[in-house]
Amino acid sequence: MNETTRPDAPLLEASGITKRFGPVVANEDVHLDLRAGEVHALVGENGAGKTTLMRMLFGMYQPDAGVIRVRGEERQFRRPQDAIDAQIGMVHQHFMLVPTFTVAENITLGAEPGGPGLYSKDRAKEAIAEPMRRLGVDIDPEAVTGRLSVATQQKIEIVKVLYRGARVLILDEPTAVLTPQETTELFELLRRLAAEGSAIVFISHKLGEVFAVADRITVLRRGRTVGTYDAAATDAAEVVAAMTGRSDVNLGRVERVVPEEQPPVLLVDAVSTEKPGHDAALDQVSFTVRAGEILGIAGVEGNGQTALAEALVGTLALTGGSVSISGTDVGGLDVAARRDHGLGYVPEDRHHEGLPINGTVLEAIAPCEVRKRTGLGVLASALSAKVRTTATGLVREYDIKAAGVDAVCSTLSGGNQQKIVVARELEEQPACLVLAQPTRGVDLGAIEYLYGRIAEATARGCAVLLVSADLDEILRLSDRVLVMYRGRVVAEKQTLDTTREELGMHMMGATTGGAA
Amino acid sequence: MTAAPTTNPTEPAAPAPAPPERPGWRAVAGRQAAAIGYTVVIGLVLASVLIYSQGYAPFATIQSGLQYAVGDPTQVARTFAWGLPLYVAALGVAIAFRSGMFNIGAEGQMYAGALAAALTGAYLGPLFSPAHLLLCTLAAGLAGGLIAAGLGWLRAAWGVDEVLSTLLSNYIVILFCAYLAIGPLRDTTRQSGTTKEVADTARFGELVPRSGLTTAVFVVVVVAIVIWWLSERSVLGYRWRMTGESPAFASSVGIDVFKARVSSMALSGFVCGVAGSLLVTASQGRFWTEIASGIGWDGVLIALVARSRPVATVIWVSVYCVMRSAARGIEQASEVPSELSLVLISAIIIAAAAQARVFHQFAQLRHRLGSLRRS
Amino acid sequence: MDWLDAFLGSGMRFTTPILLAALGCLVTSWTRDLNVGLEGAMIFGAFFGVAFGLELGSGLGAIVVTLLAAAVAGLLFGILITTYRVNVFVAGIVLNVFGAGATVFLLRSIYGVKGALADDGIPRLARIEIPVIGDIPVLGGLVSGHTVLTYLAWVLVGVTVWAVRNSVVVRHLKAAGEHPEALETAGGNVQRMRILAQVWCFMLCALAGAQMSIGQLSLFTEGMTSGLGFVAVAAAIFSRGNVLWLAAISTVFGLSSAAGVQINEEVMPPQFAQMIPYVVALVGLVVLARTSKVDQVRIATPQLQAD
Repeated sequence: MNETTRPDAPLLEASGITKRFGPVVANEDVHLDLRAGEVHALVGENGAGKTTLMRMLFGMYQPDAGVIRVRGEERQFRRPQDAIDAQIGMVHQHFMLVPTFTVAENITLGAEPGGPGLYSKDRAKEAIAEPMRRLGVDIDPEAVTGRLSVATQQKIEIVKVLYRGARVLILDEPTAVLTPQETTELFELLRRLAAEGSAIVFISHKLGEVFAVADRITVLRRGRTVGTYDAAATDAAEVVAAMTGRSDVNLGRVERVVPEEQPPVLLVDAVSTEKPGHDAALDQVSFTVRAGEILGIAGVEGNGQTALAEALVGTLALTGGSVSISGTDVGGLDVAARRDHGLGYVPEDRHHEGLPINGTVLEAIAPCEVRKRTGLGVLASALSAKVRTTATGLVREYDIKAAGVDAVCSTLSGGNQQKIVVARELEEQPACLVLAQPTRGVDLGAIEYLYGRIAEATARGCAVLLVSADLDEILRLSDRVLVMYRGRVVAEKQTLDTTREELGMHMMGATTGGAA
Repeated sequence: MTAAPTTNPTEPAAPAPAPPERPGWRAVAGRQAAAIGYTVVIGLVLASVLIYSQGYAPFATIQSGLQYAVGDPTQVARTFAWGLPLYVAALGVAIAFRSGMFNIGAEGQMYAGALAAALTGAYLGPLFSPAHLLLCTLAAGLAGGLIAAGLGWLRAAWGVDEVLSTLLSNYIVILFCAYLAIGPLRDTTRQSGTTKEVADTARFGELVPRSGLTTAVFVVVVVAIVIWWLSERSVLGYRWRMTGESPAFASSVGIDVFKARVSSMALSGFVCGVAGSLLVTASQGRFWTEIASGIGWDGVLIALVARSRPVATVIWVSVYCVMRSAARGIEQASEVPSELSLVLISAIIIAAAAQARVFHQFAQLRHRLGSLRRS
Repeated sequence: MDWLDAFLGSGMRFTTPILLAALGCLVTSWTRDLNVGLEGAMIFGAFFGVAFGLELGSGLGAIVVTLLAAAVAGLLFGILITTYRVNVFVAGIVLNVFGAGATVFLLRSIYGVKGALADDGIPRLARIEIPVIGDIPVLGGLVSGHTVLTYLAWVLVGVTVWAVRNSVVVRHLKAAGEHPEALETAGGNVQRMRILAQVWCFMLCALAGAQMSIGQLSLFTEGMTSGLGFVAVAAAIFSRGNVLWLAAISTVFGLSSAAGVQINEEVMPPQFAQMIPYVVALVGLVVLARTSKVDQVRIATPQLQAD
């Protein structure tokens, strides 16, 4: 291979990349090449090694083997600055923006204008005007970043990358936090940048979006490259098969028997809350969920879905309205009492709320049993033989891949961690189950399994409330959908009678007469 | 805990690994032996350097120090007699740490406990001795417990940072106790700053003659076992531990985080108060203004380094007792000040805290040398 | 009005070490490595101020050498909490115990004395009497007759205010604490910032300690910082990152410490008077928690469950 710069060489090329973390092989012999002017999708399941690969291209990790070439020239990225110098920029899935900084401060971080060691507000404002104009956005440079919407923050990230002069843009799961309309807008921006001669890497696991924007698609499975396909010459089925190694993956609606006219289990009437730190306050939210029904809650994150789940389970106090489960008013009860009345809860943040992440599998499964101990019972053994037997049984039944019930939760994959949470919650046979982002960061195989379990629970008569930022998930699983906007329910739809685009309109705040 | 600033950004966000192998007991035991060996070596090397720098032969001096500390049964008894309150204090601090409540106010709670016990012992009775001792201990526990529970309540209900509030409470409590001992409750027959001597029925009997080791040792053993069961095995302990590990998890599965925080703080303060009472009932016989002399701080330090595991706490206290006693012996045999033990324990704790990283770097170095040799 | 002059003058003298240490602590709160070992760092500063002063015979020379030693200590501390990942809270608590023990150890092994070291050879920082202003009542006590360290402390307040607005380094310090990965991916160096914060903190604490031993007095006594380091931690936390607030709060603590010394025994027992700064801090802490909705600076306590 010629080591000098060649005009026809790919803008960026990675070949034979291998990366291990201890005994875990994250990438093995991975190949990727990027041409100027293309949008290149990198797809694969959670844990397939997409993010690891991109972090190596951006100098955050160093490969154990393999080479990275920029325009045909071999380069070593020891730190992100090296990649930035090679005109590579990255928009991370979790934004790399300091919440309390202004927009201008964030964009210029690491390359501040104003002379050596100095920062000048006015010079920064001038310096970021050009990349803003190039991207066709207009954001107040003085605004505090943390107070802006996620879509705006994402644009700031792209401006930041352009400010540093990047010609290769890597976007890691950029659409996860956007509405369908915002996604379309983002794709237009990406196409425009590609037309100007940049190369864009678009990491995703949503195939609809991949085919909407990408010119070529590289598929990773279990840390290896399966292949690179021309988007025009392949189809979703082929890519899914490449991603999963199976040809029978169901990406459509989950088959289940929907019972007719069952009695309502969860009754939510005019519920309001104060504003929690991380979400919008609820404002007069009302709905019912019947036995055996799955009600989806859609909306852009931060519009009250998290607050709703927390208000239902009892970690966020109500300021008005009532919640009842199977006819009992539980609005004034604490979490333990609500659970005693048949409420199950799969929280959205598995690592903080779902599991004791540094605790053992046994400790993660024990709460249901432990909750019932009162009086002198609190002095008895918590993780008794009985709890251990139950836990061992669940690990076997749910096929949780762990070294036993004494394994530490953080050593398990996301899918197995989530199986623990769902197993624990379904073990109590709840009358009503609140699921918040149940499959975030979970691989396709585990998703299918979890959906099957949820379907079984509804067949038994469990009422399910499904809060999800993933519209595909809601369309695949729920019977009815409510859309939330700024803490209120702005639309109610039968899932089979609606479309992504219609839900997207409501997610931006459009109301209908059918709103609850 | 809301803050976790120790995360290193360049550290890989560990990608989901394959189901891990469970390490065999040999590997675990080997790793622990290596860890203990490492701290012992660090301590010995540092002690030797310090002693040598004062112009004494390290080996002989350390040996004579150890002779003083554990040379014969009476000396052993004397060594651990001093440590009895420290065992209790460190375990008390550990209880609160387990639920994520950092009770740095152990020193103050010990003073409060000591004063309460001294007053109960001096102004109540003489009574039937076990009853009198029980009353003294309970009074001391209540005094410490009320302080800690109050600060715990402030944290649980209003979010008042308990690290800082307990820290500040030390000075307030100690000054208040000093005021009482110097002013209204002073024993006028003695020098300033002491209270009346307690009745004989409020003192533990000596177990080993001329060693100062009293029957209070049984109280300490019972306290240690009870605390171990409570915090490591019981339902209550599970609730505390989960609250400490992840308050969000605890509250979402129905554990009353508020109750867990206040109750663990209350018990922690109670136990620290009891530790204070031992200073009076098991050794000094009265309260004076510098009675705890930093034992509460030592307890905090040891609970931190033992990661508040009861068994590890007991082991660390024992090691510290021997070190401290040996330092006294060294001071008698040479001119090396006995503060040597404070310097050593600080260094050892830092070394222990850095141990995982040191071992990691050592392994990497060996790996790199190995690959160099191969190429 | 003499008592007011004396009170204000004494208040300013007490404010100096609190303010210096709190300014150091503030920077460590930016990197989210809030150092609770100020007390230990200060007692070392006090000791080495006296020790180097005896050696060099010059107060300013002693300060310069002490500062260098503090910078090295801060570097070591910074490396411990970053490269060796020792929890900063544990390290801070150990530093306090270590400072108390090691200074006594050194005192006894070098000078062979217990309790206190007083010697005619110990220099004392000159008091700067400002002409004209020094004669004005009230203002004179406030502004005139202090050591160079007092004036330096207030200059540093101004410098810090300026740096927060106009310097890159403060931005990077704050980013290193609030979102380290953002700084890292923007080409900054998180570890260097975290270490720098500790070096700065140690240097200011050394000045604070030296002010107590060779500024206000010319002797060293065991445990002479007597909790002022913790008061400085409280001041840094209360300020919530605002430098002017920090200066104001430090002054309040300084004045209440002065009150503790100046209040006559007939008015209240000395123990109660000495309690004033701690009670003020505790009450302030409760008020802060009740009035602020935003997340406060939590001291970075370790996770004990993790193995």
